Amino acid sequence: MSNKLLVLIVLVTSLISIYFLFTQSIRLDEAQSIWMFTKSIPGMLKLTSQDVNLPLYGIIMHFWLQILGINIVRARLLSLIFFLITLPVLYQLIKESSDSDHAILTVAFFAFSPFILWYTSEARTYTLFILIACLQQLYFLRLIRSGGNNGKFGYFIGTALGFYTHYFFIFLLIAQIVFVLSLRIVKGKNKNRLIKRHLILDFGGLLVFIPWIYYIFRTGGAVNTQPLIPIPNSYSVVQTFVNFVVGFQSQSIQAVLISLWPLSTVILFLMFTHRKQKLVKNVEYFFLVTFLPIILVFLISFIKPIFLSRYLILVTPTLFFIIAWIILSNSKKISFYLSVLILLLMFSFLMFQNISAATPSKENYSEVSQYLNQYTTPEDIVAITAPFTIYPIEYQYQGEAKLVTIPNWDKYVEGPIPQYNSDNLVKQINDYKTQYNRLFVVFSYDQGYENDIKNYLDTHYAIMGMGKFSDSIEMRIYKLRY
Amino acid sequence: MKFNINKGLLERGKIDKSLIGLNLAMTAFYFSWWLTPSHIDNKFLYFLLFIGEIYHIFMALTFWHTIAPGQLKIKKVNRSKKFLPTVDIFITVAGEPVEIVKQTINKVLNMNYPKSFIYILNDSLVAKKENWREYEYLAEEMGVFCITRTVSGGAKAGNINHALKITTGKLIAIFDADMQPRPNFLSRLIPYFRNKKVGFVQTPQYYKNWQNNLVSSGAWAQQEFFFGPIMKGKEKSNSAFICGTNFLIRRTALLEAGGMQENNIAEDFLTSLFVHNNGWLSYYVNEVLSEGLAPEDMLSYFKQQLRWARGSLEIVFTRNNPLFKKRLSWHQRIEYLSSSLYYFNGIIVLIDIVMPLLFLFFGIRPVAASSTSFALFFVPFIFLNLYSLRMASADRISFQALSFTQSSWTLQILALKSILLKQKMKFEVTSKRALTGNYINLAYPHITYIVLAFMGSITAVLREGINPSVITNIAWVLVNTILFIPFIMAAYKAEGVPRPKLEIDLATENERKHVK
Repeated sequence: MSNKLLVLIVLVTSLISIYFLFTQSIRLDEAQSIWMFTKSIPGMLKLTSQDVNLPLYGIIMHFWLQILGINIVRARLLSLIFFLITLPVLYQLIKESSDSDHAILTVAFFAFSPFILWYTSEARTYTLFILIACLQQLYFLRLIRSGGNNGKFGYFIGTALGFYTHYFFIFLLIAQIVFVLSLRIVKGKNKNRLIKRHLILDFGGLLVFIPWIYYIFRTGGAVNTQPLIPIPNSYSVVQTFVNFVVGFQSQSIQAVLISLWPLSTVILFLMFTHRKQKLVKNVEYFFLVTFLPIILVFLISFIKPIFLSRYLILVTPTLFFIIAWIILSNSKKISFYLSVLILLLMFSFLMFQNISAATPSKENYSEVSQYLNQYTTPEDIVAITAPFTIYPIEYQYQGEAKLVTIPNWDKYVEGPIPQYNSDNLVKQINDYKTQYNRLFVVFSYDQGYENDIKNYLDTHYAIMGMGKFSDSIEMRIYKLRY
Repeated sequence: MKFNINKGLLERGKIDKSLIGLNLAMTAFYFSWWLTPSHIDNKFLYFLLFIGEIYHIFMALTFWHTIAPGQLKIKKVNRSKKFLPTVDIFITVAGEPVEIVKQTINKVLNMNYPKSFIYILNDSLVAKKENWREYEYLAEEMGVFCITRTVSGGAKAGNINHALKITTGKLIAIFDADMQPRPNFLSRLIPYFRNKKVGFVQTPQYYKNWQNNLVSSGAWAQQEFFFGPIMKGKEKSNSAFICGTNFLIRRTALLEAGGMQENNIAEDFLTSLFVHNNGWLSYYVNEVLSEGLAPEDMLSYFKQQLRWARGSLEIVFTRNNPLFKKRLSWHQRIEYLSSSLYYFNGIIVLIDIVMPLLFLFFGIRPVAASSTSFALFFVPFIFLNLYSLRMASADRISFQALSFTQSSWTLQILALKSILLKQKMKFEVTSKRALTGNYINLAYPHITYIVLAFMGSITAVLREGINPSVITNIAWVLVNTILFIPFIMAAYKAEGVPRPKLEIDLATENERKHVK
């Protein structure tokens, strides 16, 4: 029965994902990824080392695109494949800790999560990251339960690959180390052997990663194109959990859902007062790997802001397991209704997320490009700000007007994007005045100077038109000369 | 490390010191939120909430104190049969059904202790019960003694003190009319008294009818936690106290304390305080050695809780306040104080539940900060608290117990009011039969709250539209509503509750728990 359900989930979620990966506009990060990963291996590695990414996904994508050809749908297909492989791995991970009912419900939540499906149809590293995180945890728990005897090889490989997939993998590792040390405190010295083996394997994984660290230092560090991340606050933390369950909804829907947080106390009451709870092996582990990374990232963000819900995607499998566990602690009837209700809600939010124009993460660069293709002439110039958002527009742009960025950036020149400067802006626009009739400015990913640009242009040039393509992309058209 | 719920009855969970340390750190972290001046909006309301938080934190700290790992340092109990002190067995009655008393006597006789004398302490005459003579006939029939009081005074405590003057046993076992001891009750407890410093040994009050309806199960859910980790934890600092029934006490210790205390409605609690103040040791044996009946209707439950609340709270306002008992250790003072102050919870719950209503109806806010900033401090705190509570109770804390505790604010406020206004409260024996009648009126305050919450929610939405403050406050009243629902259902269902049908055999019950 469980296997049939698993197959059904895989089929349904595949169809949904395939539909999304065909219909969604190319996003900034995707365009940047394709641009980077279609370069030669040395060139790609160099660009990766200067960015915030790690090379494993890029290398796989590089060969994938070499074989299938460069196309955004084909690139996205890779994410879907990683996602589909994750489902049986997650099933196995939960089944070994609990039973098939919990495993299937966890997989169902995971597979229908609007948040997960968003990244399933995005040509980026996140589904690979989850797959490796799940595999690594499967072997980690085998290692723990066998007192350090089983799962060593799988754990080592998982850890090494994890290091090469995403920097946030380190937080999973920290949570695991804390868990193993807590075993030592609770269970005593008989866990010393396990601790020793675990730390040796972690160290082994780290050793495999050292060449990349060396390479980064040699090439000058990851400073090139990282977007501006704000310092998180309490709202961001609650929002992250809301994102995990209902995906990226409009600001107003998110605000309502976040404000319902007191109801979480009822969930806690129910969670801790169920007497017929299914025995879950190492239940503390699941709580630790779900919440500790979020706490650590939140705290670190006060020194260096790194708090983004997508970076924390690694906690979603265990979070969905905790939710499944709470639900299945009820009677069969209540569990069934609750499960169906949550899945229906997730599905509704999934549809809304992908249809609604107010979805904040929606980046309708595709329409921007189409608009520019249709309405610009060689006498016009298109300026894009922030500069790194040129990638997705450039990907689909086939118009006749020249594409530039504000501040002016040549991405083929080594080094970071130039700093914004109002004097340079004046000079840059003055240069265009003599050559072009109209200036199309595309605003997205405000890096702190968007309003300054708008103020200058609005007060010095006549506005011929303005509009929004999605929640975060705006265009204004200015008359440069008559 | 397994999250094991299949523990036996009344077990005390294992709590690690590191978990207590973590809780203390988390408590400090949470409290720091309340110390931030920028969070204050309406000063008076904030002050009220602040007082409530201090109370919560004090109670949390005393809870950690209670459940902290450790054992009372005792000599190994010598169980040789040579030690056979004389025992007087008191069965206190005041109009309970005779058949129930008869069952109890039968069970007492089954203990087969050679040097025991069984007494029915009959208070039915002074309680003006028509059936008072029936106990005398019963005593004659069963071959036990019956002491019928003719002069009233001191309620149950007076009844026991009256019998103390007539009897001579070195140890005294006291049972309520419905509390039926198991055959090993005396053989299990008497060896503790080899140690001449031991004043009394208390055992749990197990309700064999706890599965009968929502009231009995709710009452048992609360008892289970109290007679599990709480009492066992109190034993560690020599402050496990007498719980009215199912205990064995040394006559000398009781007499030194001036007998059972007649000037407090919770006579057992105050008597224990005096016994401990005189330097006696006490033990708590968390084995079910007797079985009784839980209140099965909301009125009986309400009266029982009200009596306990009144009696315990009263001590705080008198010279018997444990803080002033100089011969008690600080650990004992903390334990007694926390038991007394527990019943202050009612007023704090009232403050907490009224706050969202004030916002919903009038837009008044005690707090200026965003609610998610509070969530960031509160949710981890409550998470860790509940986790530890579950660990401490060996996974036996129930939602119903939480609901009944939260919903008891009405009776706790009533108890506080009666103390402050110096109103007299009659000692009433908890009914051993399910009373018929509709006791939904005891849940009227809770139902009123739900109605107000609904009206307030509409008012706020009409006034401000749907915004985060409105939604958060609606969520809070919803939380309170969810917590009140089991209590309201129990009060409603009490109408026409049938007599106990399900007599659970304790052995079977224990077996079932372990097998599950």
